[in-house]
Amino acid sequence: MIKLSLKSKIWFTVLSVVVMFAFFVLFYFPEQQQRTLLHNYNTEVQNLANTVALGVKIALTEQNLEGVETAMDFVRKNEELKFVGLMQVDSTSGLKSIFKTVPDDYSIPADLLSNDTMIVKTASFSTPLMTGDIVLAMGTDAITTSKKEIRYTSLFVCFIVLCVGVFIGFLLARNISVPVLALRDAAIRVGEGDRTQQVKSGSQDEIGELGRAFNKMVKALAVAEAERKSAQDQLILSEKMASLGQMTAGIAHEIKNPLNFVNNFSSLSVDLLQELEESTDEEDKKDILESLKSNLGKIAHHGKRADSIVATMLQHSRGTAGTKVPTDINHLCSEYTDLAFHGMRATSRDFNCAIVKNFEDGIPLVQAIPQELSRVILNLLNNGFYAAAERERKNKESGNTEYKPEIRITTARKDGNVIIKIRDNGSGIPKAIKDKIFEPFFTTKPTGQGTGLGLSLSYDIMTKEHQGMMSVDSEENNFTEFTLTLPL
Amino acid sequence: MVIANDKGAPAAMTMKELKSVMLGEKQRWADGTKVSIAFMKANTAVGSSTAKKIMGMTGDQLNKFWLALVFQGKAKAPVFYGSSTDVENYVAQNPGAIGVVEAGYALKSGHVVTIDSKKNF
Repeated sequence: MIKLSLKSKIWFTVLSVVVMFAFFVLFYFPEQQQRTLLHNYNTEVQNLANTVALGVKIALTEQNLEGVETAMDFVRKNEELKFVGLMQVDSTSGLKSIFKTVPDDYSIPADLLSNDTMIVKTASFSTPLMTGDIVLAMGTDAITTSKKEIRYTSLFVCFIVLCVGVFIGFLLARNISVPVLALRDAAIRVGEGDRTQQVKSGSQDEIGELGRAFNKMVKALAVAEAERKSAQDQLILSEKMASLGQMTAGIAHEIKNPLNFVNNFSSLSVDLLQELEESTDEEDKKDILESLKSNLGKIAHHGKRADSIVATMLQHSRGTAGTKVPTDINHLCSEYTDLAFHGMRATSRDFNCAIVKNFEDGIPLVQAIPQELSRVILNLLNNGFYAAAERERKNKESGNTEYKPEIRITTARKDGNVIIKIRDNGSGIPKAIKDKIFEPFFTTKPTGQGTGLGLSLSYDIMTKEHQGMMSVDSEENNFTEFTLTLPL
Repeated sequence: MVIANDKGAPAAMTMKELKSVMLGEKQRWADGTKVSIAFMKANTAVGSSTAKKIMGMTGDQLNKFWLALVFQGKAKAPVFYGSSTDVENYVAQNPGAIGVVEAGYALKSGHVVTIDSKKNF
């Protein structure tokens, strides 16, 4: 099917109307007018013949020649006159003969009929003195001239109509096509993401209303988009805060252990110092001092452990957001696995899970954004713990106590990339939703427990911020394994 | 009796001249005035005898003769009246007019044209 632009359709419509009008003006109307002219001319010639015949009748019956004289004067003055004949019919034989003609002695054929160049009309009269016909023949030059004039007039009218048509075409193109095309271009740009597009909408017709409605729609779209972005930012912030909460729980647990040791050994050391002050036996004093030395060593060791944890956290939180720094993937994975585990344990004390770390030695530092990458790992681990906990809960409900939750985190170097695999033996992902899990706001968790942005944001972090990849392999009620690929 | 308007027709004519006028052959008088003719109708005694004595025709023949002339536009059509008075009135009102009335008619205007020196023929 031929694709016509709006402008082409307008021109096609206008030219169709002009062509149709031209057809009527050039062919139909002239034909009609010529027929009317010919008909009128026939009637006129017939009337003249009738008038002359009546004049002859009056002349012969009443001896009044005034009528025929006037009629014949009128006929003779007509420039189209070919001839007029007064025919008389012999009363006994019925044969017609020429009585008189104008011009004189004109020979009138017996079978004379009208043709293209001549109109022939006959009018009969009958008196006691003479019976006969008036035969009147008039030329059609005037008709031919009129036809030509009609044709020229038609051509002129056609030219005027064509000019008017072209003018109307330009007007329509300017008033309809141009605004509609501008609207189309603006709509395309809006579709491409430009929400600043506005079209001129000065006219008061439907096109103007369409333009104003479009402008209003684009403004409303921009506002709605801003609101959506704001809401999305809020959700992302919520997701970050949720991650932070879990991480904080892990950090608290990690620091609490060494602090317990520090507290216990400090308290023990205070008691030992009390014993030391009260003791008089040198051997006891020596043993107490050895114990104190050991306790202080342990206090120092666990203090350093707490300091190390805080230092790691600080290291990961330092740096401008979005800035890549050389990152030890194994260290980052190890720390955040522990944090995620303790975070999970902080919220679900009844749940336990085996953690299997399988890190390849010698993986070089990777240019990564630690804050972002840690979010991905934390998010995947949390999902893994959740899936494992869900499967354990379902198994317990069905009386199966054989199930042992396990999270396996593996790092490896392969084909110029660093691969991180996080695998859980949880409930798995059904095939029907496997293609949707990276879509924003998609979640299988109950309302209030998940924003549906975790995997979506993780996917963006891996692909857009690290130019890496993120994929998933899963079998329902068996395992789920996420694979993160980071280019070296 | 032949009568005529004071303008145009002479006081005396020959029969040949009168016939020439009455058959439309002579269409202007000597002074240039256009000839116009008034007859009595053929169904009157004067009309019938006029056609016969002057033109040598019957009334119908005269009628057809003048029809032919008028049809072809060769002469101004004569007028036909039913009484001498109407003929006299026409002649009196039209310069160059000539007409035929009954013999011995008491003329009130115009003049009598003698034909071959006779008032009546």
